[in-house]
Amino acid sequence: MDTDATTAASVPEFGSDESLRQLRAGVLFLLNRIVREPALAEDLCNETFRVVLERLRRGPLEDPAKLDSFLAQTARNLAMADRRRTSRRQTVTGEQAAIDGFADERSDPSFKVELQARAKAIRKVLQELPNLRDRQLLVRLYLNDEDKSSICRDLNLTEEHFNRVVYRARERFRVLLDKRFKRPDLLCLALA
Amino acid sequence: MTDSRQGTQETIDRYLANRLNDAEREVVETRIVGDPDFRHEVELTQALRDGLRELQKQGEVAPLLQPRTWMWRRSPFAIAASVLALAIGVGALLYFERTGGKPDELVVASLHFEHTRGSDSGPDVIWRGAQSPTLLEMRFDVGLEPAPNYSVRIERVGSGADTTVFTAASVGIGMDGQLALSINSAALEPGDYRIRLEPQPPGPDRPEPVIYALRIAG
Repeated sequence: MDTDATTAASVPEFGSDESLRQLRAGVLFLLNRIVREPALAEDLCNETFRVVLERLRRGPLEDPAKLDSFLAQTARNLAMADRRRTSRRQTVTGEQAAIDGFADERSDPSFKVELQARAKAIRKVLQELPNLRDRQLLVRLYLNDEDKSSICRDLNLTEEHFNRVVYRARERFRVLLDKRFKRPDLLCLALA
Repeated sequence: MTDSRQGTQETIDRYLANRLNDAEREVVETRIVGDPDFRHEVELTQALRDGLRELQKQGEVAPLLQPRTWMWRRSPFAIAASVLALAIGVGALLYFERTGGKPDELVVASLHFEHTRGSDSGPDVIWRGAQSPTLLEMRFDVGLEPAPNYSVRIERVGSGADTTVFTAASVGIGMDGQLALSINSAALEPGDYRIRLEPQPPGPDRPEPVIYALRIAG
């Protein structure tokens, strides 16, 4: 972690090293989701903590409970600022935009291994669902991003049935991944 | 599952599908930063979505959305052959029990059917037949939401009509959620077999039949 413990300890809002680690993991998740580029997300995460630390050194937050919100907002602002800066710097031609669009943000070999494991786990989950409608439900929800109510209507499902299938499938998926990696923290690799 | 947990999951699903408004999204993102348990749930859902996308890239989603029903013809000849094969199978079992009923040792083989590979793939389980008759203890994983009982039909798959070598009208699911079945290997000559597990009692809301493929190697 670039935000070293000594610095963190000097700021009571961050609490223990463990809570700082958790906060950082949360900020990194957000940034990965926004910028879709692990290295850049890492840089912006460090920058987020630098900005927040500086602000806290100048004076404590009025409401310390809002530290989470402050971190999230700072991370979003930095990501947007970076996006604006990048688009200003580029002389964007149609071809360049297309090339950038195909930039492989998941070229990390460990991520590919992780992705394969996830595909294997979800394949097993789907194979274990004997009911075709249940398999369709999961695909429509998580692959096609369809709305729950429209899925229920189309497949003639009750909400209870829908919830039960999603819950059990998620739990089974969790077990399969835990078995594979032992530590749920490795799910963080999903964030690239 | 509690209502609050259900509500949380729906929020996560909508967040990852980019279907929250700005205010809702900010609330979720604040929680992701400050609540590790919540973040783990978001990560799990993200991993599930990633896994599905990867499967789709590999072209494996569409086959998983096909009904698993097996198209087989029930011609009068096939039915007659099935009855004959069943009679031969039962006869073979009785013969074995009378003539070889006092074996020196009991040989048991455990066959675990974990998931089906589909009718066009190879067998799900291959067992190399032993010299002495063996009790085959088969365990079948019938999925996340099994029916309480299954009828079992084992058919020998040949170049001509398929022949039924074993049937059971109703076999219950064990405590481990699996279906267990023991059968004497004398009933199964070397060859390919299809094991059809049909949920009982039949009904529109029942899960689909599960079909496994077994090869007895000579």
